[in-house]
Amino acid sequence: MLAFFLVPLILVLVYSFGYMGVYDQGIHLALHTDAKNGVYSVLSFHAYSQIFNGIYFKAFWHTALMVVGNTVGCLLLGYPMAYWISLKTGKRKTLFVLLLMLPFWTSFLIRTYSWMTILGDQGLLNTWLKDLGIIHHPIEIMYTLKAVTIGIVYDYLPFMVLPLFVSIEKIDRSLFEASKDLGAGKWTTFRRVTLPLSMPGIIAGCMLVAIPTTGEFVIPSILGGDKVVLWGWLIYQAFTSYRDWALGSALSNILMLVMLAIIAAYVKYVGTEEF
Amino acid sequence: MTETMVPTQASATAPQSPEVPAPQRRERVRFSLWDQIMRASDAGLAVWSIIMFVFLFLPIVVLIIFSFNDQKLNVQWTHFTFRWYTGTGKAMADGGKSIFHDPGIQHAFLTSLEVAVVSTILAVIIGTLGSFALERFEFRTKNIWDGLNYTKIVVAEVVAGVSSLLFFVQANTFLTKYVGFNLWGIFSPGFYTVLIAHVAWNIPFVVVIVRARLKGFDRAIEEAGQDLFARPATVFFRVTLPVIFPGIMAAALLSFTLSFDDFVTTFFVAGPQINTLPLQIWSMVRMGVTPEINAISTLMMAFSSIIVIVLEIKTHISADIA
Repeated sequence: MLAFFLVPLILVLVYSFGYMGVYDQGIHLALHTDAKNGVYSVLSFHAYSQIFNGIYFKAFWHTALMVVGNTVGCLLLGYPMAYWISLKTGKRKTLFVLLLMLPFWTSFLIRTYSWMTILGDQGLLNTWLKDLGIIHHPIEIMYTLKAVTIGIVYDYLPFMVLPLFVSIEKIDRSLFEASKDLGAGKWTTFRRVTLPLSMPGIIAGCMLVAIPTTGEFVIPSILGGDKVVLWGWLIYQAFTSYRDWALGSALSNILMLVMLAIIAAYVKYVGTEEF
Repeated sequence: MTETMVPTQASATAPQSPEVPAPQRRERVRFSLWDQIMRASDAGLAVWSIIMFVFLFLPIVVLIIFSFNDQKLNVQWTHFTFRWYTGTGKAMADGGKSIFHDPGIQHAFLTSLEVAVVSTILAVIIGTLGSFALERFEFRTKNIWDGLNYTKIVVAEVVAGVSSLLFFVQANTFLTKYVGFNLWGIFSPGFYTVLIAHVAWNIPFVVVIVRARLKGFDRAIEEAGQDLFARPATVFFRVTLPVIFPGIMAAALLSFTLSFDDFVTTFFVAGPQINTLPLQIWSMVRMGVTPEINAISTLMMAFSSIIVIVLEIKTHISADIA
């Protein structure tokens, strides 16, 4: 595991200090750069100096907004759903849990792609709205931030609902009754009993949603038509279109560094019990 | 808000048993606004959840419906057809192929299956051994392994994919140039790089699930086995393994799903030699998807739903996954 995990991450660090280019034959470390022969200076800040640029700052900001928005959105959309399923009993509960898992059994590329059929200019949504006479010109959703947001929230919602459901379900039902007996209304019971006790689920769900969102590039690429610039999409572009592995590595490093900083801060101020 | 007294009401969640007399209706006290909203919310909760389920299933339903659409582009509904499944009916004059007549898709499907099965078996074996090590034994580097296991889950997949790519490239060059033996070329992009990446990617998930199962394990039954003069191997196969087996099955199922559907990591490490189904779908999405893909997805979903339902009836596996 050490070999297949830690070593690759260290390699990303090394590559990021190189000069731009494609290094599919590996690199040799040297003090001077000779990109043609794959000779690679270890201390070039070329990739990082590229990133100090308005476009990248903007992409970083957009990604941060998307991560926070997606996490909060999934939590708000998913919590009532998880709560509702946890109130069900027996076979019905099993059915709903299986229904929640069913999307995982279809290729997520295909599920994402399917939104194109719905949201496109001549897609189902626009056709229906036009038939109903609500709109006369198609609303432009595809290839904008709207489509990307819908796609991302859609893809991550089950990852939020499942852990929420598990933790709400674990709460001892008699605590609700006790709260009621003590004269608490439903809201008070929710705020003082359900919410605190489902905290592990909330944290687990938020992590499961937030972390993969940081590196998301498939949805921006399909539904954003390569027009919505997010951090993960930049990494993908650096390795494919820009053909600049050093830049891609540098972008990956910054992403990892930010994640580590956030997790370290979390562990320091909140503690590790919830993990 | 806490002091607000609210007349107890029978609700769906806690039906009042007949022995308990209904509490006297107290004098009406001020309801908090939130309490009133929550009171109206039982129905709202159901409606909301159903809307969310519709949201989750809308693309899937559209996907299934359009697999029967008699048009090469997934844009507008025209006629009902089976041609994407059977290849018969209206002649495939527009250049479309059905799933049973397209070697490209079939080959990609079989490759995906192969990678998923082999990587699941390897990941489950290594992950189960690993979870035993982490759960049952104390050793000096335990914290490091434990941390690494979670780090892997915590890193965004694009980073995992990129780092695996760099690793394979560098390892291949290193072995060829400095060792003179490149391990039969397993590190040059292709089947083995995808396989190794999938195994490495899936192990942490197996460890987490199997470990959870081991945590709730009552070691007294193992001791009982030993007391009855069972050899350690017998205890393992007759006592320990059957108890943790549902956990292992759940881990295998998750691992298989992740591997079969994995796009991001595969995309970076695959190279031109290998084509898995997600890679095939990706290239088709870029070029324009035909309902052929809808058809194969529909079949796969039907197939996996049947497996899950059978497993659920036999083993109640959903409890272990969740």
